[in-house]
Amino acid sequence: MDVGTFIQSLWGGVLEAGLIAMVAVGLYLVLGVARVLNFAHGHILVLGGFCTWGFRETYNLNFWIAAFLGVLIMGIAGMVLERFPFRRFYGNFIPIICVGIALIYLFEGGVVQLWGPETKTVGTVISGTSGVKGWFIMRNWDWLVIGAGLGCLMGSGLFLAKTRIGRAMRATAVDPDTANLQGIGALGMARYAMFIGCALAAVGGGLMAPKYGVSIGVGLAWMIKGMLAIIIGGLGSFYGCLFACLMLGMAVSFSITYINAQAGYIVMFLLLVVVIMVRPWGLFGKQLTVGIPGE
Amino acid sequence: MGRRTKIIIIASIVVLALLFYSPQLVSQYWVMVLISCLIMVCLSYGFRLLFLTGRFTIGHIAFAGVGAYASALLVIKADIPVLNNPWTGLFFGALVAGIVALAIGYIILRVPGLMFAILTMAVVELVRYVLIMWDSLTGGPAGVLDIPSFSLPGYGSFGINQTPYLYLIIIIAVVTIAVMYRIERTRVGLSFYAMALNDRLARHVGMDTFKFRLICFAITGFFAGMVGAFLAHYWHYVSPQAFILMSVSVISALGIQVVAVAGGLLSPLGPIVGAFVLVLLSEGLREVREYAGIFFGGILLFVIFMLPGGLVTLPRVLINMPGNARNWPDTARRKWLDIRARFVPAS
Repeated sequence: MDVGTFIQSLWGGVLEAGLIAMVAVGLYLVLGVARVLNFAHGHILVLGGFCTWGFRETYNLNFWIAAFLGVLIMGIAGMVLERFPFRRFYGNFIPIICVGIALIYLFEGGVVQLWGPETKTVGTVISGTSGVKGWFIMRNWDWLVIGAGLGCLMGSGLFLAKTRIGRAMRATAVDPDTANLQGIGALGMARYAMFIGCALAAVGGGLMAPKYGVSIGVGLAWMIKGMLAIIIGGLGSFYGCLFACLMLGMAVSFSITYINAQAGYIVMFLLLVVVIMVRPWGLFGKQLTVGIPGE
Repeated sequence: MGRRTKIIIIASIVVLALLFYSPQLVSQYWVMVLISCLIMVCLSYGFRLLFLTGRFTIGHIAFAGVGAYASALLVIKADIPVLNNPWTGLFFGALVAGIVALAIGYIILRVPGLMFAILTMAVVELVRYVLIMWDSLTGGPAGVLDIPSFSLPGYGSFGINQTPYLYLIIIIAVVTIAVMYRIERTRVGLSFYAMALNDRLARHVGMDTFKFRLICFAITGFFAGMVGAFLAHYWHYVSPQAFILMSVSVISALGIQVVAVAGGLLSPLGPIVGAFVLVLLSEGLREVREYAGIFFGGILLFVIFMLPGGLVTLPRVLINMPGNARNWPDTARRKWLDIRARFVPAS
């Protein structure tokens, strides 16, 4: 077995894991703190990419400024979403899922109306490749994505662990009523969580834009990947979620290298099946009932 | 037999008579639209049955796809005269879809409801991937072409005339609705309500919720497969792109969900109303096809915020509106909790 290919797959796995984590961590935060399953989360990611593209197209801004603006806009959009549909149906997952699906329809229809259905390109920001000759080589942009992804994720982890607001959010995730009793406004925390979650997704969208182009159709696919990571990781632990993203990313990367370009998804699903059959509440999740499958 | 049952029977007979007579009344184009309506009726009824057990599925279209492919492949590849028949394909597709639903449900129904909804979407994608990758069997992304139509001994092949397909889909829809309507009213149906109300309590009382949900899932998969097989012999082709999450036509995974929720989840009439309204709407919007998605999203949002019971409750809400108007938004919000908590069998 070629060690170089193996290491290449490893780095590819880290890249893929970083991108999945952008979606999954945002979803995890939103799910835990705001108790909302945002079906349109993948679309927020893509819209972040659209903002980046839009600002570059119209105002010819620097890529970084455009991406930063996209992150801000999507964060604010997340807060608006929290305020209007999601707060109304707090804790009641059926209308929230339906709202998410309605948002998917609105976003897809709206984007196609406004900007046309083609995939948009943003243009390469950093070109060239680098790596250790003979062992692995990756585009510079991919290294940047890995670095930025890791940075954002570590930032979120530190934010949740060390800062007061982070602790408040964790408390809200554990029990909103007790958090309210302690003086933490649970709905305010929900708002911040939506902001951070959507901002993270928009970061992912911006990072993916130069590489994959911006296309509204992939929103659902990314949301599914992020949710697979959350289901595998379980709702119990933030680092569990990251670990699940890493596992998924590695699985996809290795199966793309060694099996087939299409096999990545099947392998992801197989992983999911294995985890669900053994621990339906996720690898790091809280066990809800004792050994009984189902709710 | 109560008065209400009599009304239902008479209304059904009238509607059915209208439907059967409609090819004489309207052009073939509208017959095609009616067929689409009835297809959505069948699919969203399956969604509703599973919803009654407390699970929200978005992956229903996957089993239609499985049924379609199973039927198409059987009819094309089998050489034995009995198996070669599209009518056998109908049941074979349904059976295969039911078995696949059983297998997939056995894995998926273990997770909590919120995750289950996403997993069903993943199932749709997975089925699509399998159909694309297993191209030795399924013909890959190109799909299966030239699928023969149904044929009756005295009548000949169904061909491109829409009318016999209409009659067939009416029969399929009636069978689907009848079966699911009856299931709701048996003891098994009562267990569905119990599971939806309080899953943990149902388990503590002794119901094997997993088993009942699995049975329900398999039944809905069976009927979805039957509809899928019908689609295969109606469109005369199947491809992985026909059974995806979201497409311009209403016949997509999310489309089923929109139809069912917008139509109404509690009432048995709901999916029917939703199917007709949404398919007719998307046909009316044919000129401005790109706006169709925005309209679906808008209708869905309208129903979620204003009409939790679905469009089927619109007459009742409008009649009561003057009294309720002031605090309607809050009433609507609370009604969603009712929908989760009040699955009371009518009559």
